[in-house]
Amino acid sequence: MADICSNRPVNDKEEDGGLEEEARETEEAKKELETWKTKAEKADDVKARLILEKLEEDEAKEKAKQEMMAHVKKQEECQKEFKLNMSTVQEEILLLGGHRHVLLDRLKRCQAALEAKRAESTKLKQKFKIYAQIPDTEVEFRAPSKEEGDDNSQPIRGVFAISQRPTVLLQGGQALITFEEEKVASQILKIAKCSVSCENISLDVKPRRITMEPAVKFEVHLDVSRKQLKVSNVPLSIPEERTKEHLEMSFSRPSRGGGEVDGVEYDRNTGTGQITFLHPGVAEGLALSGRYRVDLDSEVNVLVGPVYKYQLCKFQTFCGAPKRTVLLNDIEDKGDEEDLQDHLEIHFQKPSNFGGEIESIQYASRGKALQAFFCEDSPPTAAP
Amino acid sequence: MSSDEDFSLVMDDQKPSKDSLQQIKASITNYKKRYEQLIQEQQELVASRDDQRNMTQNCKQRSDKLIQDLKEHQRSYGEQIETEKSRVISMKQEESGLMDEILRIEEALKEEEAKKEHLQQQADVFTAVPERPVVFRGSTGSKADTFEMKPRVVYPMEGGTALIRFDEKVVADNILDIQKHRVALGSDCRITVEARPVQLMLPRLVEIDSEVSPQHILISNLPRMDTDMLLSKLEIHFSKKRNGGGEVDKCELLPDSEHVVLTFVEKDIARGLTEQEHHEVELQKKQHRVRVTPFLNGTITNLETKMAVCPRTVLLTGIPDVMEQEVLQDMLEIHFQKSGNGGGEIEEFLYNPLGQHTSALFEGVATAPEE
Repeated sequence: MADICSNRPVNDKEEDGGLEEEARETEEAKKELETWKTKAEKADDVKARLILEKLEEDEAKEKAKQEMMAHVKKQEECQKEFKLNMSTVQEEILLLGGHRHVLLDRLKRCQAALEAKRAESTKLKQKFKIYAQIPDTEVEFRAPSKEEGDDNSQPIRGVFAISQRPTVLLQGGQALITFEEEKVASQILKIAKCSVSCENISLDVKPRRITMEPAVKFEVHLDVSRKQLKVSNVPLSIPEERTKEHLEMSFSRPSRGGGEVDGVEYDRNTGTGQITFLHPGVAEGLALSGRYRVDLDSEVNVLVGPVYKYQLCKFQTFCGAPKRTVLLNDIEDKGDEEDLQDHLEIHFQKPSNFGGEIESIQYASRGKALQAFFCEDSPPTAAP
Repeated sequence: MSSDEDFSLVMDDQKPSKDSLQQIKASITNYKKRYEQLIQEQQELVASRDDQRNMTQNCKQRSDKLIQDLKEHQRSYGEQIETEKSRVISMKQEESGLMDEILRIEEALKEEEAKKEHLQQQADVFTAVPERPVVFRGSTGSKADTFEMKPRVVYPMEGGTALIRFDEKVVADNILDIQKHRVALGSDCRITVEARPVQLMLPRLVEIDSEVSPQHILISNLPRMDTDMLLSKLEIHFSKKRNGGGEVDKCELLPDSEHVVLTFVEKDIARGLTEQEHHEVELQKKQHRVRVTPFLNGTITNLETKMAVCPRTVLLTGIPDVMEQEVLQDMLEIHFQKSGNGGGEIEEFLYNPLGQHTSALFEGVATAPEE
């Protein structure tokens, strides 16, 4: 900045008065100029400073912007990576899902196969199981027994011959027909279809060989003791030895139906025991009543029952072979049941129809089901 | 102190003071102008600087947020991936479990197949069971009638008892009702006897498991000959090792059949023999072709019994030994035949005196005849 010389020669004498004023103005002006010069300089400084500041801010902004962009990029990369990982995992899941489906299917099939196989086995096992319900049978005294000299200790010996009657379930639309002669039955079986006339219509019936399920026959040997009595429900109140004594005493009392006791067995764990009487007959009577009053530490009722042993003997399985009986199948339900049966009989009696003398006939109409029982066929006797 | 403005101020020091004032004033004006310009520029710069500053702030704020967000996202993504990965793990576990299960079931299936095969083999024996000719004679009924029983009970009688079988059930019932009977034996002798029902234990339900016995064989196709001879010959033949046999425990004829059941002591003989269906055995002085098949043996798995009362039979007890047996029996019979005494027609009477041992035979009564 040029220095403004404030010393200037005063040229004009005539203007002293005016010059003085001018000089004063000039002084003032100079002062003002200085002021403004300073101001301007300062302003320039400030401007310079501001320029620097702005440049700094520019840099800072750029840096911040760069950082921000970097973060944005990171975010994008992160997202991309995530998407990639996610899709990889989900693909695997899908694949596993597919496997699972296949395996579940296979498992189901295997399980079904196993169950089916088990059912088959059970069905087969059933073939080996016999459930024989014995119908009520009357027993009466027949005669003195020819069995050898019995002593007192013989049990009541029962031999029960049980047999299963070979049976065929006769269903609706079927008939069973027994011929007197085996050869007639064989002949009929050779015919596929027989036309039986019934009123004014013709019925086609089909003769069929009968297949039967195996049946069993066996003996149950049942021996009931006449001297021993089973005791149960004995309360566990007093010690074992004393219980035995008390039982013996109680069972010896004739007033209660008891008798002389030969021996006592008792099992504390099960509360059961066995009384052996000296003489037969006592046990029988008591067993029938079912209970007996015993004095332990108080009077209690114990349960009594018979003592018996059993054995299976002469077990045999056989299969019924019906030589003279034939099954007639697919008989249409026409008219009265009895009439139809009669017509069947008439037809199969005639030799012209390859039939012969009939011993027995049974027809079941639609909706019916009958259990037909067979019995053993004795061999044919010579014709008289 | 420098100015980058072209506006440089050079003052001419040599200028006369006359011009100086004007010049000064001009300078002042210049400086003023410049000052104002500078102020203006300053303001612009401030504005610009502040703008940038703001933008920087914004960027920084956004960066911060982005950092936050990124953290959050990373966490969230991490979680999600973890979730899916654990799904994968659990699915893999499930898969492994399923495969194990399948293997187990396939094993069980093989076992079951083997069991079934074994059972089937045993069941095939049913096709080889002996045949019996049977015939239908008109008998029908329900499944409950499938089994029939023929009872035969040997009942040892106590001393001083008698058994009476009446013709009619009502008579027996009456005698039992009266219970105590005074029987006159001659003019001056009276005895009192007690009438009681007879109850016998009968089987009610028999459950049997049958299986092919490793110890038995069933022999059929046998010729008609003396039973004892037949059984001996068979026992001898099948006890010889060269015939495939072994030590025989029992040899018996099955009731009302022409088949023989042979029991071996050891359990490994029967199987070998049954592999061959026909065997040549010397019977009746020549070689006879017999049929050897497996035998189904039964064991009782459950037996239920019941006590059955005889309808027409009565037991008399307390008969004292006052007379000769036959005489006393006659007197008793006469007494119980009279309707006046509550009795009726007697079919069978058996007296066992005190001190003696007699057994009575009880048998079944045929219900509906077959024909």
